[in-house]
Amino acid sequence: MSETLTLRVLRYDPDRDAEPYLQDYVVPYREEWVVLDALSYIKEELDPTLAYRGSCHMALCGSCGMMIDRQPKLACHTFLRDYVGRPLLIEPLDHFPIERDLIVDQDGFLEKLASLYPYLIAEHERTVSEGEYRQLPAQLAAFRPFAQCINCLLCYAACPQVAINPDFAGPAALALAHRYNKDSRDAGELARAEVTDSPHGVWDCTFVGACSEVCPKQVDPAAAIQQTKISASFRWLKARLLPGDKP
Amino acid sequence: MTRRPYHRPLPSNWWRREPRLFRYIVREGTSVFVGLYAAILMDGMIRLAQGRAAWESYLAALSSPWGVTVQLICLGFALFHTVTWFGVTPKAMPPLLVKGQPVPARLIVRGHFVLWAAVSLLVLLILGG
Repeated sequence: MSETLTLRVLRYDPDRDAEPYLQDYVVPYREEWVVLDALSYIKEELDPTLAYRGSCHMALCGSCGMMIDRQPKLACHTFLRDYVGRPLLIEPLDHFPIERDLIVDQDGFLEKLASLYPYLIAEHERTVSEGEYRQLPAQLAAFRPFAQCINCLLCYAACPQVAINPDFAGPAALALAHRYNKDSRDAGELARAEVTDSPHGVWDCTFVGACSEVCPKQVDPAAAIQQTKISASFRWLKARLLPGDKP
Repeated sequence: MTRRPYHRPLPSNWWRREPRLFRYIVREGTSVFVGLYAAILMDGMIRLAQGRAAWESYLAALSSPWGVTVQLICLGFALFHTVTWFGVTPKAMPPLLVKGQPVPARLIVRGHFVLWAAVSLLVLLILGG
């Protein structure tokens, strides 16, 4: 077993560099280290200028998504021991503008997410005296898998349609829209339909399925989007069969 | 410090860099051959309407070595198209619940294959009888 490992990291400083370049760092090899540990070592011991995101170290916060050996992965969930014997390529997430080094510009995603009202829109706001919103286990099961999203954006880096159509709302935002649409306490489906049913909503998706393959939380955005396509088709049909009737 | 986000262009070979994307492009590409076979069948209906001579020349073209080769190629791609499409059906339909429990994805996929076999058998029986 080798005692060191080379990390080949994509660097970009907007103040200095015209374009990104690769820089090699030799880090100690530890069997229990994940990529995030190696990046921390680089920042603390070798090069304090390296910029990356990371926080919880337990695949919950969704901050440390990056391309590891050309695959979108969480740096806290990817062990060095799976990549011994060759330089390990570390790049920022594909399909996002690079802000600096391994940090990407998330503004576009956050705008898309906000446009889909990713929160409960109750038909009737209950007061404290009216008590809590009740939900049966079966009603919870209808949306629970889609509620596991941590906004890590690995699905955007895996999806070629995100790169080809920059206005595409994208897997995570549409999966979260589906999560609220399927919540028995929610009544916001029509408000979300303005984006989900639009050309840059679910219809930019060509069912590549890569989003679901790379999701570290098994959210299955591909299924959420296909199911939204069915609902969107019924809304489209209803609007034509019953003109004047609010869908 | 200024903000000057760097936009990386999508390489034109994006679909060849990743096996899962290559499989996707092949899956989508098969629809061209499914469409080609549909066009051949429609041509058959037009020839049938034109009379006996046109219909027989259509049948002769289908049975020629070129005709058989084209049909075999279409069959291969149609099979690939069908198998890959059955594989993704559990995602493309709303969750199927039996007694409040979701039906496992593999059972939905198997159900499609069983239905396919049953329909194929029925067609063969009708044509054979």
